[in-house]
Amino acid sequence: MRVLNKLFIFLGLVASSISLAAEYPVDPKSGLIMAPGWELVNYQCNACHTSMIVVQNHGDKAFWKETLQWMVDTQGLWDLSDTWEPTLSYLSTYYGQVEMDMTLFRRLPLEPSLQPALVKPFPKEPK
Amino acid sequence: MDLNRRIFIKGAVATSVLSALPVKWVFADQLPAAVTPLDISALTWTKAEDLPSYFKVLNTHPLNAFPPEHKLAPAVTPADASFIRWNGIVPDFKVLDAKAWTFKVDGESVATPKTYTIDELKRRFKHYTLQLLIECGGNSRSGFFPSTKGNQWNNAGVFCSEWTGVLVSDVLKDCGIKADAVYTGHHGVDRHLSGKGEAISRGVPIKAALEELGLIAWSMNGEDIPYLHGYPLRIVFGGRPGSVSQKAATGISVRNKVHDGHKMEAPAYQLPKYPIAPGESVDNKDYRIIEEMIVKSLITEPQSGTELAVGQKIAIAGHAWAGLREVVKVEVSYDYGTRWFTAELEKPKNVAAWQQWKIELQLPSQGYYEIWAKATDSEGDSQPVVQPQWNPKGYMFNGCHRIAVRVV
Repeated sequence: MRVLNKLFIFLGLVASSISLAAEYPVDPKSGLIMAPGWELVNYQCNACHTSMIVVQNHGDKAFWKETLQWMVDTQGLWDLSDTWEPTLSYLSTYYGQVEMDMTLFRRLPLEPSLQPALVKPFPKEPK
Repeated sequence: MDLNRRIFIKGAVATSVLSALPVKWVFADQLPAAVTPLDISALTWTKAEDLPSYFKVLNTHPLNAFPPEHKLAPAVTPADASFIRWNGIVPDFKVLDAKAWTFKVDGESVATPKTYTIDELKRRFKHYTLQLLIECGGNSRSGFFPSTKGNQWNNAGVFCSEWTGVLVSDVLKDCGIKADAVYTGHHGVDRHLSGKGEAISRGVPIKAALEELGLIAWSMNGEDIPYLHGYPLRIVFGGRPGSVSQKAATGISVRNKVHDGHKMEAPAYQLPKYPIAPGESVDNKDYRIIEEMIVKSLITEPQSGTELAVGQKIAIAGHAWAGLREVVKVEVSYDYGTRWFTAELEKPKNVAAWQQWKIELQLPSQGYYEIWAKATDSEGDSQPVVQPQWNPKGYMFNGCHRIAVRVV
């Protein structure tokens, strides 16, 4: 038996931000896309943990705001004060929510009209 | 390191040749097919650079890494194929003195707090050797959509090794447990990434601590516990989220309330109390602790991406587990669940050990096939073929595992 190339593994999700990201090189040390704002994220996010946890996650501004606020509130991260906006903007632009890949799921989610109303939709904008 | 002794103990083939080779060579890609890889250097790995290249490193600090799924083929997982998950700073194992190590039992609900050396534990209590499954609560998190926060584990955040130690229950009873005991709190030496406080301190309900085969273990697969798996003592509760199996363990507090250690609070290692839609959020008060893992299976043979010839039978094998329940059936499909074929299934060696299954199938023609596996447990619960219940932290993904093969 021969082994095919790694066609099937780890290609699960296709980032919608790929076209944006392709314009910038990736910093080999941090793994971060070197788009405007990346130094800020590199400096702040590598203080406690490495940025390897950043690049494997995806979400909108609210997602990243909630994550960083949790670090400020409970994990000893300093308040980002005037760096909040550029940090969240960078993260949500280059590490935004990804498209669903039908090789993983093979079923589309139910159409919104067929779903019950969300009891508590995830907030779209940071508070 | 005492290389020769370890090779001798392992009874590997061609020991005289292997013992002359540098340890790193053992993991080289050019390893001859007939030679079984040895997990020798796995005992003293302490950082990402020490891991063989087949590990996928999710993070170097804190250290999180997993092997390819097919490396999990052995019934008893060797240390060099076991996922690595630290929440905080990896302790400085090289200066750690196991002779001076102590394990303390204390807390509001202990009659007589006591402290034991490892020698005292070994001398005073009956020894048990058990195969115990340790699965990260976030194993397979990468399968969820919308994506959920945290390390994006594939399906290899699970392993089942053989642990030797004494029963948690025997040690707790030696100290006397008051009637008001509710929960245990487990403690270790690893520090939070900030350097302040414990990295993680979780526990189990007192009933589990007193009635289950939870271990205070000093040995994994007949050797000292590898550093990255919790040398010199690890609390091991099989079938529960791996985070309760405290590495480099220094003690257990018996609490008169649900333990309030770090990462006990919602939403860490917790699920919504009621089902939610994918992407919905939940108030912290509406979460519950994940106590037991659920039914799941893994295909470890063949390796995904394998090609085979028309007419050639395909041998498919793997493991199945169900937290503290037993798996009673494993089925395999090559047509997305149109038809399911029942595999041969072994009994578990003990409660909370994974079970081996295998089946030989004839794929009908040339083409691309996905092999899907589905386990069913003793309560009749089985694995969804679609995305399981979505939850904000991405725990407990147990959708059917699948691999792809091509008949040419």
